[in-house]
Amino acid sequence: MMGALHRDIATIIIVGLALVVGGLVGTPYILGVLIIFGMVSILVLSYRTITTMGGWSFAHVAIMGIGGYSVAIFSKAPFEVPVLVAVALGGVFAALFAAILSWPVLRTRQYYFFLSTFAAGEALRQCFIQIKEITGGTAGIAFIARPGILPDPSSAFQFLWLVAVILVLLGLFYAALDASDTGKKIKAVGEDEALSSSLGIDAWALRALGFILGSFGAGIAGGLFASYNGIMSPSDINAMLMFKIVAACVIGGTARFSGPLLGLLFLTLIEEIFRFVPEFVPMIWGALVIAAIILSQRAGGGLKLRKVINA
Amino acid sequence: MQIVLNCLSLTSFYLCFALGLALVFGVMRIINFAHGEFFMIGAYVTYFCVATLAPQIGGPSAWLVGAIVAAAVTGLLGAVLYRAVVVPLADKPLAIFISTLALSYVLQTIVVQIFGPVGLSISPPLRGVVSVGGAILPASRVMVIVAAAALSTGLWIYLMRTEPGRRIRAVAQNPRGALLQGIKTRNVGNLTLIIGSGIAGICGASMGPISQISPYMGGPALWKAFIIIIVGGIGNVWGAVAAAAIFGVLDTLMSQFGGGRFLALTSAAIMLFVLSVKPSGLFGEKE
Repeated sequence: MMGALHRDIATIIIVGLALVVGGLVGTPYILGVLIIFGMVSILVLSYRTITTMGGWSFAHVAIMGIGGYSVAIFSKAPFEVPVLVAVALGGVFAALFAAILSWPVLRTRQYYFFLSTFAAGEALRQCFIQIKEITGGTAGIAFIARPGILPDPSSAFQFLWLVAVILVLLGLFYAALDASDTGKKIKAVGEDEALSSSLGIDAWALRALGFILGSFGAGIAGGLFASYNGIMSPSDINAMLMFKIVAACVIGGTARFSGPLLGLLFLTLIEEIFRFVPEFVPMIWGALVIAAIILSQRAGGGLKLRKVINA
Repeated sequence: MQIVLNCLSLTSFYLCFALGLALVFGVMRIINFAHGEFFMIGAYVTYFCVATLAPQIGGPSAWLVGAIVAAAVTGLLGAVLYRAVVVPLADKPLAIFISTLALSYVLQTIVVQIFGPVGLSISPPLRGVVSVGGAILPASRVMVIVAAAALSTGLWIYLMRTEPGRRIRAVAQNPRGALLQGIKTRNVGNLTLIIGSGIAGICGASMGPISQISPYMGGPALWKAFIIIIVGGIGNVWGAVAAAAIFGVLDTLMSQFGGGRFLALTSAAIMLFVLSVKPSGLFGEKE
C-alpha cells in the first residue's frame, strides 16, 4: 500500500506544481481556467473521499455552498474575520452540516442514498434562495474580498498560488487518511458493509466520518470560489457542477487520486475546446459519461472504473 | 372549498409525475433521472402538435393528439433507454442512475437546440372555469385532475386485472421467482419502462397548458417527485399516492397561509425526518 500512498502524494504535488507553472507561462485567460481547475480539483478529491465509503452523494455542490456563504457572511461586517480564517470556518460549517445530515441520510443505501442526498442538497439550495435576510436571496452576496494575506490580493496569479497550496495541503491530508487504518476501514465498509460490521467495525460511524471529512473539503473549495468570484449566489450551486464532479470520478475511476483528476482534466479540455459553442458542452459530457459507463461494463475488467461503478 | 380544490389539483400533478417513477423503481429497482426530461419532452411534443394542428382540427382535439403522440414518443424513449442503458448495466443501480442523469443533459441540450432556451406556452385546449360549490377552478386544471385520476385508475386496473399486469407485479415481488415461473423478465422490464415513460409524457401533456414549458422544467418537478417517493417508500406505487396527497395538501395550505417560501425546507425536513424514523419510507417494506 505504500506504493499507492506515494503515487497519490506524487499526483497531488505534480498537479500543484503544474498549476503554478502553468500560471507563470499562461495568458490571463489560462490563469483563470487554472484557478477554476484547482478549485474544482479540491471538490473532486474531497468527493473521492466520500465515494470510498460506498455512497455517491449528490449534495456535494450544495455543501460547497455552505463554505461559500460562510466566507461571504463572516468576511464582512459585523464579523470581519480574515478571509482565510473564514474559508477554514466554511470548511468546518460544511463538515458540521454533513454531520447533522449523516444521521438521517446515512441510514440509507444505494438508491435511497443518492436520492436523499440529491433532495437534501436541492433543499439546501432553496434555503439559500429563500432565507433572504442572511443570504441575499437570488441576488446573493457581492463584494467578497480576496484573502488579505496575499501581498497583492487583486493578482490572479497569487490567488492561483494560494489555491495550489491549499489543494496540495488538503490532498496530502486525504492521502494520509486514505492510507491510514481508519481510511482502510472506511473502504472496507464501502466494499462490504455486512462483513465489516460482523468484524466489529462501526460501519455507520466510519461512513459518517468519510462523509464529514469529504464535505470539509467541499466547504473549503466553496470559500475559495466565493472569494475568487467576489460574489456568492444560489446560481453558483448548479447541477452542472455536480454533474462535472460525478462525471470526472466516473470517467477517471476513483481507485487512486489520479483517476478523478485525469477525468476532470479531460472534461475541462472538452469544455475549453467547445467554448465557442458552450451550449453543446452538457450534451458532449453526457454522451461521454454514458459511453464510458457502458464501455467499461463491456470491457469487463480493462478499465479502472469497473470496480467503482459496480455499486 | 377553494382550498380543497387546490389541494386536489396539486396532488394530481404530484401523483401523475411520481407514478411513473415509482412504477419503474418498484419493478426494476432503477431510478430514471431522465424522467423529468421525458416529462419536458411530453410537454414540447404537445406544444408542437397544438401549434400545428389546432387551426385545422380545433384546440381540444389537437391537444388530445398531442397527448397521444407525447405518450408514444416518451414510451419509445423509454424502450430505447431500456435497450441502450438498462440491459447492459443490469444490477448496477448507480451506473444506471448516472447514465440517466447524463442522458437528461443530452435530451435537455437537444430540446434547447430545437425549440430554444426560452419558455413557451401552450394555449389551453379548454377555456373557461368550472365552479364547484362556490369555488372556481380553471378548466385546464380540472383536466389535470381528470388525467391523474384516469392514469392511476387505469394503471391500477392494468396491474391488478390483466395478464401483463400480473406479470409486472410478479417481477416486482420476486424477479427470480418470476423467472422460474417462465416469465420473461426482460420483456416485463421493457414494458414497465415504456409505461412509466409514457405516463411522464402524458403528465407533460396535461401540465403543459397550465404552466410555461421550458427545457429546464424537468428538474424542479423531479426533485419533488424524489421526495414523494422517498417519503412514500421507494417503489411502492400506493405509498407514492399517499405521499403525493400529503404533499399536495401540505403545500397548498402552506402557500395559502403565507409559508410558501419555506416549502422546500419543510419538504426536505419531512423527508429527513421520515428517513431517520423509518429509512424505508412510510409505506415501504424493509429490503
